[in-house]
Amino acid sequence: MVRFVLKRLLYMLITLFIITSFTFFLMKLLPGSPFNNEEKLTDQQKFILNEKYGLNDPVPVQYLNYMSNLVKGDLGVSFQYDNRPVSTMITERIGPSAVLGVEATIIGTIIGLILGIAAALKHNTSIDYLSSLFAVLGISIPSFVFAGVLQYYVGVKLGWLPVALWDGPKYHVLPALSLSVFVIATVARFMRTEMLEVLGQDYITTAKSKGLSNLVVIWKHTIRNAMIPVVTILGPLAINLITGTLIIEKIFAVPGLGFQFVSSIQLNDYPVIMATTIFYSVCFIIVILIVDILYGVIDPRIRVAGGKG
Amino acid sequence: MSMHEKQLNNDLFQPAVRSSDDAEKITKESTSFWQDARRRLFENKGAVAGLIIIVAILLLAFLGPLFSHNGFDDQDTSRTNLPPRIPVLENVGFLGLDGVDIRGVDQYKMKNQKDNYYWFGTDALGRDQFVRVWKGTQISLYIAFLAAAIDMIIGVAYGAISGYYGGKTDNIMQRIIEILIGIPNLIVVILLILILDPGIISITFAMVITGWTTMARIVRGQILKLKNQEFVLASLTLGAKSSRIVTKHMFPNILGSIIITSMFTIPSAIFTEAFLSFIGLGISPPTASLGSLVNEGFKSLQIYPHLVLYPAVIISLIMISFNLLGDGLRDALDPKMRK
Repeated sequence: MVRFVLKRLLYMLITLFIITSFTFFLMKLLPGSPFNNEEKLTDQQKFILNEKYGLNDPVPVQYLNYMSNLVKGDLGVSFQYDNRPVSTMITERIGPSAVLGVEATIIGTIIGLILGIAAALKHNTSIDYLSSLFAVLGISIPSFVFAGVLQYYVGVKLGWLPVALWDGPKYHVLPALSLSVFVIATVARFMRTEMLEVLGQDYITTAKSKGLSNLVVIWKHTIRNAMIPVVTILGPLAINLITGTLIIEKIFAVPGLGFQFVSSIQLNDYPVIMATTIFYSVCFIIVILIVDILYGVIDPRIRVAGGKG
Repeated sequence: MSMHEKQLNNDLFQPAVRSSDDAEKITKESTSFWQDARRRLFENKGAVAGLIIIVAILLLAFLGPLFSHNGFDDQDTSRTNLPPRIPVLENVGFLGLDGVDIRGVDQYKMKNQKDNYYWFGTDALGRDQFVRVWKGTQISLYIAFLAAAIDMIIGVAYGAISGYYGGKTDNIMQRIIEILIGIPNLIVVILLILILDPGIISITFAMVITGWTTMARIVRGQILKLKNQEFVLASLTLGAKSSRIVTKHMFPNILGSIIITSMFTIPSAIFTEAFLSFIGLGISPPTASLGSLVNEGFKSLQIYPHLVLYPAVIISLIMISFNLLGDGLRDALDPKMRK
C-alpha cells in the first residue's frame, strides 16, 4: 500500500511538471501583448517593459526561469495589477471561493444523505418518487438557470435576501444554495441506490432476525455500509464545484478565484492564468489521487495500481 | 373457499403424461438480452417520456425556424423587446401569451405590430426569439451528437487498448489521461478560443481533446475486470486471437456500459457548451446558443423575463430528458439491476 501511494505521488509530480510546461508553451502561442494600452506605448517603452519582465529572453530561458521560480514557490508578478505577486492574489481570492465550496458541500451532503436515505427506506412510496424527481431535476437543470430563478424570485421579487455581492453571512445563502443543488442531487441519488443494494443483502436479514431494533439495523448495518462507496463520487463532485463556482461567482458577483481567472484571460495576464491553472490542476490531481487510493483500500478487486493481470 | 372445495372431486383430475422429450422443451419463446432490455426500457415511464421529449425537441429544432419568415439574425428596431404572443392562446389570459408586457402595456399595439405573432417574443435588437431559441437548440443537439461520437470512437478504442494490453502500455496511456483530466477543460477551451477563432470549431476541438476520458476510463476498468474472468481465459486457452477475444467476448459484455456512459456524457457536454456560452466564451454572436441566450436575457431579467424563460426551459428540458433516458437505459442494460 505504501509503495502504491509513493508511486502515485511520483506520477503526480510528473503529471504536474507536464501540465505546467504544456500551459507555459501554449501561453506563448497566444496572440496579444500582456500590457495594457499597448497601442499607446512607443517601441522603446515596450522594449523596456519586455526587458523588465524577461520577455525578451529566448523562450527556453523564460521557461527555465519560470520553472525554477515555481519550484521556489514564486509564481511571478501580475502584469496588470501593479506588479502584485500572483501568489498573494490567489490567496486573497481563494477565500470566498473556498468558503462557498465548503458551504455548498456541507449543505449538499447533509440534505442529499437525508433525501437518499429517506427514499431508500420508503422505497416505492411518494417520498421515494419525490426525492428521485428532485434528484433528476437537480442533476439536469443547469446551475445558472437555478441561480437565476433563486436570484429573481428570492432576491428580486420577494426581497428576502441580497441579490448579489459578498458582504456577510446573508450574502452567502443564495450562492451556496445554488451551488449545492447539484451536490444534493448527486448524493441523494447515489445514496438511494447504495442503500437499496445494502438493504437486499443477507447480513441485513440476519441482523433483523437476530432481533435487533430497526434503528440499529438501519444505522449500524445499512447506512454505514452504504456510505463507503460515496467516495467514488467525490472526484466528479469536486470538479463540478470548481466549474460551478465560476458561474455562480459571475451571477452573484462574488469576488472569488473563478471570477479573477476569467478576467485574467481577457487581460492576457500570463502569470495569473498560469498560476490559476496550476492551482486548479493541483486540486484536480489531488482529488483523483485520493479517490484512487480510497478505491484500492475499499475494494481490493479494483486495485488501480498496475493493471497487469 | 368452502364452496369451491365441495365442487372439486377427484374425477376432475387426470395424471399428466410425462415424456422425457417434453421436459427438455422450453415453452416460452426465448428472449435475447437486447429484447429484454428493450422491454424494460419501454416499461420505464420516465425513459419513454424522455425519449418523446428528445424526439419532439429534435423535430422542433430543425422545423421550428421554418415556421417563421425571420432569420435568426434578422434585426428590426421597430419590433424590439416584444413579449410572446401566440394565436388562439392569446385569448387565454393567465398564460401571459397575449403580447402584454409586465407593465400592462400591449407592446404589439404600441409598436404597430398588430398583425405579427412572435411566439417567444423578440429580443433587444428585434430578432425573433423563436428562431433564435431553436437555432441554439440545434447547437446543443450538435454538441450532443459530437460528444456521443467522440465517446464511441476515441474513448472506447483508447480504453480497450489500454485495458487489454495492460502493463507499460496501460501505464503510459493512463498517465496521458491523467494529464488530460488534470488540465481543467475550461483552460483547454479558452486557449483554443484564443488561438483559433471563437465559436463552434474551438469548442469541437476542445471536446475532441478532452471529451472521451471518462469513457476510456470506464471501458478500461471493464476490460480489466473481464480479462481475468474464466470465459475469457477459456477462450484464450483454446487459442483465440486478441481481436476475436475483444470483439466476440469482451465487447458484447461492455456494450451496456458504453451506451450508459455515453448517455451520461451527452448531458454534461450540452451543459459544458451552455456554460461556456453563458460566461461568454463559447458561441459568439450573432449565432445563438441556449447558454448565451440565457446570459443575454439575464441583463433584462426584471423587465423582460420571457427572454430568459424560453431558452432556460428548453435547455432544462433537454438535460432532464437525456438524464431520464440515460437512467432508463442504465436500468434496462445493467444486469446487476435485474430482478
